[in-house]
Amino acid sequence: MSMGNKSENKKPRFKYGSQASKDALSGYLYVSPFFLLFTVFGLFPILFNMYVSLFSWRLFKGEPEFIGFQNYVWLLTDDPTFIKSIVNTFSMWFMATLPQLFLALVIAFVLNQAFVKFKDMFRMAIFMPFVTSLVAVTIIFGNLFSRDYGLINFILGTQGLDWLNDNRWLSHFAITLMVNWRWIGYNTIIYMAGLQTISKELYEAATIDGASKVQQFFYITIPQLRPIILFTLIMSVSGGMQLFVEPLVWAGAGGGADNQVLTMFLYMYNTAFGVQYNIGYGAAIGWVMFIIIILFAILNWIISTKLIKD
Amino acid sequence: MKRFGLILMSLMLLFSFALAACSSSEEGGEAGEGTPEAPADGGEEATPETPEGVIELTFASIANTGFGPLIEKYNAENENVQINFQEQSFDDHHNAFATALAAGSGVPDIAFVEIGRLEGFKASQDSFTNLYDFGAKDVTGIYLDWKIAQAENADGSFLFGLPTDIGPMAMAYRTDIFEEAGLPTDPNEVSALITDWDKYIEVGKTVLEKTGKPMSDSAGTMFDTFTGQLTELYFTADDELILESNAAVKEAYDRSIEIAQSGLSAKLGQWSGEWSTGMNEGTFATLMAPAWMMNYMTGSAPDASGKWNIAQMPVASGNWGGSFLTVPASTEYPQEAYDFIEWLVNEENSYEVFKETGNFPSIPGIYEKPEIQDWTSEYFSGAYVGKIYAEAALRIQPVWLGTDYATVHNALKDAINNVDLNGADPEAAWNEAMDTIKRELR
Repeated sequence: MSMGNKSENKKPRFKYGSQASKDALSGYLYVSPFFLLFTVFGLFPILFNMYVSLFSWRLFKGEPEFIGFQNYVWLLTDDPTFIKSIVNTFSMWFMATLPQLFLALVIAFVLNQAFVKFKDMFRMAIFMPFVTSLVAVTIIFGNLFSRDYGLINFILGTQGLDWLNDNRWLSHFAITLMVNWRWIGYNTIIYMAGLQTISKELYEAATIDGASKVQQFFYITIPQLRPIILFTLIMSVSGGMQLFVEPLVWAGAGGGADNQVLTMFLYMYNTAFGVQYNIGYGAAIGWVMFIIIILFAILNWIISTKLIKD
Repeated sequence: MKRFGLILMSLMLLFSFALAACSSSEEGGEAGEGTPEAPADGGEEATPETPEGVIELTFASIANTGFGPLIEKYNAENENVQINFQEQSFDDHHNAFATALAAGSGVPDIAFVEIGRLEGFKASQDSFTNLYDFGAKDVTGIYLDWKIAQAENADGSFLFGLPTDIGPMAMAYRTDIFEEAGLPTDPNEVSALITDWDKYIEVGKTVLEKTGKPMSDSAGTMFDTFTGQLTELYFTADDELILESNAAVKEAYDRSIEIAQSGLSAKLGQWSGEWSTGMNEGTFATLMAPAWMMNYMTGSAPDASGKWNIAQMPVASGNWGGSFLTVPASTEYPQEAYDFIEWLVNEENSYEVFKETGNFPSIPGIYEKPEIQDWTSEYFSGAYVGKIYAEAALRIQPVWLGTDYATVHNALKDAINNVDLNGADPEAAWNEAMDTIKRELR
């Protein structure tokens, strides 16, 4: 690789064999593993997924047939199951996220108070659920919610109440409890880290001015934690939109006989890898899901920045 | 531009390294798997790990098949063919096999496939070896006709696999509940009482009235049973959908709905914890049980021992489950693979497997053996379960399911569960199922 005199004068630092060019080369080599892995395991599957979604493509069912955007047309205009799965996903996200973040914030605030003893123990205890296996948790919750011999029905005195089947929103609520049991601790730990950064002087000044703990929470803690709250909110959007294991384990791959807990992700999985192996349609669901999640995250970001500013 | 050139160069360099690494590891992997390679020109001696001429066949299977000891025996007796037996759980094995088959890599030489999954693979005939080309015609005679028909394509010219076990069905019933309802408890009398499904519903109403207990575990199980007794179902042999013109399917649907709506269903999901608790505690009176269900019941509902008895199902017999051994087309040694499976499921070995696991054999010749004729079960009040299931197996009629059987059947079963569990309107649920089926088959 020889270089002309002209360019040599313009950019001497890239002279072949010079220290500068070696530095640059090693820099690119250092960062290249990520880009290589991303190309192979990230970029290629994304693009190939796009390609697959343009076909009527069922595994073990003959050759794929190119149908253009027909899968998308079907998905958006003639698939009540998909619409139902979107409603379910948003319903469960909404039911889960607001109490989850609020409770986490309150718990973090309380645990951060000076009067609380054994802080480390509480911190660990609240985070414990997060390290459990999702499937195991769902199986246990499934037993707790069971109709005839479930502990929850026993405690509430609601024998014979079928949490999964009696009412669509009730089944969403049950899933919400499973999600929150696991995620409240995670968010609490993040908020506690955020609370450490708030200056003690603000609280001291507020106490001297006679503000109660509740007032301090709403007028100091929440505004100061704004960036952290935004972070947890966006994480919960991406997590909640991809809700999958809880409905799969609790209600099966179809999300219940009435598809009452079928989420978008579960519908995609069941279409692509269920009895049909319809990977063309499944790929299309994946793309539509992607767009929905991005739009929703943007909307969320706009609303929450406005809300918290005011 | 030069910077771009540098990036390009470094990327190309890395790619070439990566590619070299990949290809060399592939070679290493193949050698490690013991695939015999053609000897080099110089006639070099083969390495000790892969002796020349030894064929290694991979056999992917589910666990608890009882094949382990037989394979050891085969490996000891045959120096030239060695079987590499790989066991996984039921779902893991079938998912891994489907993935491998779709991707066209990592496909085993021999694969265990359950009937429900085999149906879905039938449209992809090219992925399998036609066992009729390797001498299967000579041995199919020893198996049950309907079982062989399950493994054939529509015109019977292509055989996907050789049979392992079957799931002939009978009706298990709780003697304590029948007694409380003032009904006979002897199997012969029960068979005489429940001669068809209308009688079954009638008896169910008596049981409900006298004991307050539902007759069956769920309307969905009953729908499986009813449709399992039909000889023509959702598709013709040309894969034409005849669902809406087949009155028998609608009849099965309506009858399941009747069971759901008249309180004869305990509304328990199959395989749920409450289902086995129900078997244990006796919260429902009958269960349509294939032969392999006996193991499940004795394991999951041990306290009910002696409280169940078993009789033939009304109207006809049925089959639930059972599996086959297939040879995917990608194998290099179809003849050796076929010879092995022919040996593995021959009469003598099937008999061994039955004695070890209790998996019901597909070979009627075995039914005359004392292990089946004298097989009684304490759990089922001392009933001659071997005789009952052997008789059921001989009564089964073959039916063509079609490659999209599961899509159609799941939609209909969802509709019934929707009525049974969620209290949906039966006609609306049926119409919704028809729409779903049309959408999913487009």
